[in-house]
Amino acid sequence: MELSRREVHPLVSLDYRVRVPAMFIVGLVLLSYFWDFPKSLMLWTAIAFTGLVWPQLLYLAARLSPDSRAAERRNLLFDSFLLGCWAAGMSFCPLPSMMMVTAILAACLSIGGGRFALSAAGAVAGGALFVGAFMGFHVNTETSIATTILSVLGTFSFTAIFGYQSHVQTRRWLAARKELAAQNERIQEQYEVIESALQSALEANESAKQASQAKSAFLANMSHELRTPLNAILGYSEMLAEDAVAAGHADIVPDLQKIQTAGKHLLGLINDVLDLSKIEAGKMRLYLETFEVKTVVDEAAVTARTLVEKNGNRLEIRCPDGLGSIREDVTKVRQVLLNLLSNAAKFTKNGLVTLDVSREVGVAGNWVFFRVSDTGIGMTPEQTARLFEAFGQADAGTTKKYGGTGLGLAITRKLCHLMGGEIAVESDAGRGTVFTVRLPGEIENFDGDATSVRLTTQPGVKLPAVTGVAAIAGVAAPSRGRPLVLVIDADPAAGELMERLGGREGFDVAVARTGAEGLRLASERKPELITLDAILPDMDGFKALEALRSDAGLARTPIVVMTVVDDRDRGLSLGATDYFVKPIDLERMAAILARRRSGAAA
Amino acid sequence: MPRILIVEDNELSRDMLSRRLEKRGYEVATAADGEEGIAKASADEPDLILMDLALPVLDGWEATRRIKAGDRTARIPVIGLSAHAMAEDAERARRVGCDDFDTKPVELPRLLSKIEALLARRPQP
Repeated sequence: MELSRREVHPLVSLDYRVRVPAMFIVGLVLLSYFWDFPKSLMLWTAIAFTGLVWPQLLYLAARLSPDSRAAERRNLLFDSFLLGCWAAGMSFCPLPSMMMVTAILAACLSIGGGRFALSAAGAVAGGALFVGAFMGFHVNTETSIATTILSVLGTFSFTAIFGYQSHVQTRRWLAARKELAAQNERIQEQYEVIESALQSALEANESAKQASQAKSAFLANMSHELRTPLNAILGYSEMLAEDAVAAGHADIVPDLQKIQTAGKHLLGLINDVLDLSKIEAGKMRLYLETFEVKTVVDEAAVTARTLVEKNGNRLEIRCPDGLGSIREDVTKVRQVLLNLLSNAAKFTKNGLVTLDVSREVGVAGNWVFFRVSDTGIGMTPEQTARLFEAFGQADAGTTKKYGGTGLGLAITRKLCHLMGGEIAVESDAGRGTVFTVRLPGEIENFDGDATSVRLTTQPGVKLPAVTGVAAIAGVAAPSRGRPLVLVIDADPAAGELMERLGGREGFDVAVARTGAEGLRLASERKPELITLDAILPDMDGFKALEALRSDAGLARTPIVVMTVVDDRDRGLSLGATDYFVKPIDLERMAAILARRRSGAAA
Repeated sequence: MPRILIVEDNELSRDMLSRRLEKRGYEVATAADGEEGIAKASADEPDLILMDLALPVLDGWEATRRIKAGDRTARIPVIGLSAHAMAEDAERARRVGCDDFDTKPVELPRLLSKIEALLARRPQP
């Protein structure tokens, strides 16, 4: 604002430079015209004002105006009015009047165009009428030689000034046009460069895609060709083993069985490679049908139970009734669950494998979550990073010790993506692992004959996080020793936020969506810190706060109220440790957690 | 003794499967492609057909469809065999008329139970 008042429009300074000499000439002409008139102080003051003060006054007005260009156009109209006044004052004496009116009209024409010049002509007429009304309208053709010469000289100089000005304008315009053309040419050149770069990028992408598909097709064929002789190896070694027993050569049976074991491993590898290459080549089809979530979970559990129990593990299925049905490829959902369960079984001994199923319906859509947790050997972050890559088993030793092809999880993830879902893993070396799969609960606009599910999510809607924090806490909390934050909040966003923040600060986070669940979890799990919303679906949050405080075991647990209700005094008087009005100040919350964490560790 | 027709192009697989079935008391005939399979099915009218689905000349899908369309062969149970356990193959096998489906490499006990189940269903003469 300050700057724009000081920076005047270039038009203002240009006009000022023209107006100062022009008005001086006008002043001289007036002086010579009125020389022989009776001397009056008022007249001489008016002439001096016009010739010397007027241009400064207009310049000042334009400078002070917030829109200096509009102010300058008004100034030109004042000029016109003033000169109209003088024309009438000089009884329309032809030569000086002509000089003044021509000059101002030429100026207005060059700056504002025809329409503006017409307004200026109106202002001239207005000035003439104004003065004429007092002095009467007579025409005086008599002038002194000096006035005539001054008027002619003035006309010449004005014509010269405006003529030169229009010459300069034209040259500027031509130069600008030339520069513009050159710029256009440069832009065109750059555009062509970009265009050709884009073209070659598209071509490269296309050929890369083709190469990848050719590779996948080759792998698929290879797998088929490999499998045929392998069938023979497996079949004949099995026959030989049968015959050997019958013929009394039981001693060679173990060797024949080794051929079979190795052959079956090879077959598993080939099948997995084929699956993977089919998915990558876009040839894996989805056969969608609507089925009960519970049915497929039960089927997978029946198949996996023997595997899980082989290592002395217990299998626990947490699949509430009323989960409803989903529309997916049931075979592939089953395959995903079996892969995860057998994976958990393989890496856990005398522990617990849990399959936890839940459904979330909210703004982000309708999702079904499958969480497979184990209390097995777990993984380091470096190992989890490569986990979903083909042949990305933790290390070569793992393959030797635990078997498997190293392709199962790569296939599992690809299947999840194919079905419009996601998979994530969280693990703690020595403590256990949680795999979380998120699948769409309903798929619309799908013709049932495609190779993948494309989801139509609204932009800006954040999908629910694929996180197993709550699950891992639920399974392994007693042995993990990480302190717990309990979030009592019906808003999933709050839970998610605290899971992120708390996880970063070294806490486990449990979320309760209702007051009743919150009170139960608080007394069962004895959290290190509780956050509480004042608005809960089943009870007043302040009532919940009172109830928490009346529990002797929680009397000293910090309770932070996080809510949209701005009633800090009430919260604190009921025993809240701190009071946050949503949206949550993340830094402050992180600081509270960090403080609590160091306090808990001490 | 029940008579089984094996339609399989790979010589080793054919030999292996027929010997193992014969050892368990079945009477086995073989065919090496789809055309031959159809011909033997209508000439011999076996009690059951094991049909590899990837066959030369005439593939197993089409051969099964024709067998199931023939007046005298329609009643013969057919077990489709395919190299890889893809759900789509099983689905497609049922669509062309296979009574059951199994994967290769053959796991003999499982295949035997499927054979026995289908043979038990046939009308007693």
